[in-house]
Amino acid sequence: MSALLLAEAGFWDNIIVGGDWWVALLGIFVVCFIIVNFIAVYAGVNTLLERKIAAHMQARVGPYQVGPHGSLQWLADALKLLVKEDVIPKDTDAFLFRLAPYVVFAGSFAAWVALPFTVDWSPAVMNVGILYILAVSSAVVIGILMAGWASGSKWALFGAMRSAAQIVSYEVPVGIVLLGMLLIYGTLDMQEISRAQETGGWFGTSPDWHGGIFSWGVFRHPPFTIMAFFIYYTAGLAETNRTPFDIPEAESELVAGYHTEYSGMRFSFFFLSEYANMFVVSAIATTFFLGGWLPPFGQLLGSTFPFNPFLEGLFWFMLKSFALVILMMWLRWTLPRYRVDQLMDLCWKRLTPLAFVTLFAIGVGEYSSTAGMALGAAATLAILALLVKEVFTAAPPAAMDSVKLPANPS
Amino acid sequence: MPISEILLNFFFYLFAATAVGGGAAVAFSRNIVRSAFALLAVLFSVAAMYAFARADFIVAAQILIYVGGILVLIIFAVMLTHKITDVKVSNESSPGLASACACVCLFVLLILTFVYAHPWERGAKPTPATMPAAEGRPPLAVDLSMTQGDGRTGAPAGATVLDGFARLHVATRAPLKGVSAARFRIQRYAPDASKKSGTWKEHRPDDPKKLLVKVADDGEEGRSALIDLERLPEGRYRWGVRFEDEAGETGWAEFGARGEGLEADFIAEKGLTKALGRAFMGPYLLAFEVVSVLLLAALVGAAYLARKEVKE
Repeated sequence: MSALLLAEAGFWDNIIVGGDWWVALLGIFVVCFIIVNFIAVYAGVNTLLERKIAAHMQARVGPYQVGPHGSLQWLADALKLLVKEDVIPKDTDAFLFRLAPYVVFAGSFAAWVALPFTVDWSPAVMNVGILYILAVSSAVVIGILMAGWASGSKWALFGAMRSAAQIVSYEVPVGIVLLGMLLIYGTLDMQEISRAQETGGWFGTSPDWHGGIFSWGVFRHPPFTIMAFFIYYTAGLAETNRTPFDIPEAESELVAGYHTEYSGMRFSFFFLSEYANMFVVSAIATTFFLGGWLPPFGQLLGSTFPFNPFLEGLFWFMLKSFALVILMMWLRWTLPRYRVDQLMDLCWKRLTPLAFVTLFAIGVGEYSSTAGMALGAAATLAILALLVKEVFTAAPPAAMDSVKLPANPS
Repeated sequence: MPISEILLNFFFYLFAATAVGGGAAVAFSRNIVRSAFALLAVLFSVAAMYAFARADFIVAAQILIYVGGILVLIIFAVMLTHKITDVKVSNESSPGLASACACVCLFVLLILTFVYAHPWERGAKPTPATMPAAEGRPPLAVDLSMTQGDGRTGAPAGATVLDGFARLHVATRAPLKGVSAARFRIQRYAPDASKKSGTWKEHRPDDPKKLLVKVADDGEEGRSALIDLERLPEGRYRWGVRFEDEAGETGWAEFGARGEGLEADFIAEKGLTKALGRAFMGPYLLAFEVVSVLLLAALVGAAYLARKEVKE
């Protein structure tokens, strides 16, 4: 219940102009306690899920020994990480080496308090929501650089430099794409952004229409908002350093990147941070493009939330976010890793110009819906033409038996 | 001092100490990489100070630009510097006297500019006012304060209020016997044709009953009253308050001790960006430009490091 108190506007007045200061402190503690433990359990379950998904995609069974079908494997893993020896190698800068995991984790943990988990409830009410999330996430870069440098190992330093370069680069398309979407919503408040997707049609038409899924951000300026969604999700994937963008920790080149020298609990902080970041990226995509906590069928059941707005909102938000998290795992076991140059090429030569196109087109569409429709139709035709050309003129992939294999030496 | 205020002060001084300590670490560390990382503590503490001024947007912008942009660049530059653990490339190798002179001059100039050259607006502190003595009651000290409507957006309370929505708050420093209601009185500043001076005129909302509110008993803190003001037109306002007993007569606490009011600018514009733009390009233009000297200093420092690198 203390957590719910936080949702009331003017909650901070309890602290600022006097009042129940202990309620305020207790509320802060309870909310942080819930979030930290949620991240820990969520990351644990996700490691199991990831291993199971990987196994089934490769026709294996995955972990099978601990618990029924290996379902308690994540608890065993956590226990192992907790009791493992905390090794600090000889050539490290010991102070920064110890500090770095906390900086990384704090960066991804702090972003959670601004996520719009359900109707009118976020752990912290703030009107600059998305700006705050993008800002505190930058602590992750600093922490990674700190870990890489303090490790005193060339693998770790290379991994950290790659990671920082990658995250800083991919923040550019992310920022531009989100800027375009902010033109539609006109607010930085994550709750307001979610609410703005309850009504409205494409290209700014029929603002009072309860269109369900068709009122969501992703269908507001087709095809540009759909492009924006794909650009955001791709760049977000790169910001979390996951396959196919995991060159900072590419095993074949760098051992394990910036956390090569870490072990035990300190290593697991990097791990928790990666999973926490995956959720934050998915939650932002959900809020900006997929209607946040809104159900997909508008008012077909009479009203938007016929039963309990708090629980229903939580259900829809979690469902959409977890779907995107699982999509990330699916992609990890589907796509091969990029090279460094391909990665930068994709960011600066493909995603960034496309992001500018979406920003421009959404701006035009918000200014005049007729011009927006014309642009949208032209872009759709162009995309279709490109697709047709691709399908009919591309060379067929070489069949396996035509590839010359080297003769077996034996 | 109430515990909430002690807590607030504790966190404020904690962040102030981190900022100063981090700054000292930046300046005196013998290892330039550690200097760069110590800057992280400084930048985050300064962001926390902005949070105490309720400037959410500035907090986010501070972290986004300085931590996410400039600090990452600095760390990159430092890490790519040849022999980073070499003491020769640390802060202590810079020419002591010249840089000390430059720093002291710049610091004094900045402080003078901030203190004397700028008409600072009143911050979030409550304005003290007195209520004249009435029959059987000595004169009372009253605190007037104002929070922005949603209690969380932007500018310091009492300076700029967005969205034409604000909450007026009054509290007495001693218990008030027999008082049942408080009547707020609001005046609006009407500038004359030349806009150089003007007069304060009584502001009457559509429903005059809205200004009369019940007084809540806060126990030790005395009595306090709250009123929400909605949809005031754009402009500059000030306000006072009057407590009433059953007979309807107690006395005014008028517009602050110096005869001024608790003033607020109402900007009937949703969102913070426009108000910030106005503030930066209006009353705070000089301060805003002076702060950019900081960036100049950072650039000079970077150029100095790079030049040294080429010579070796």
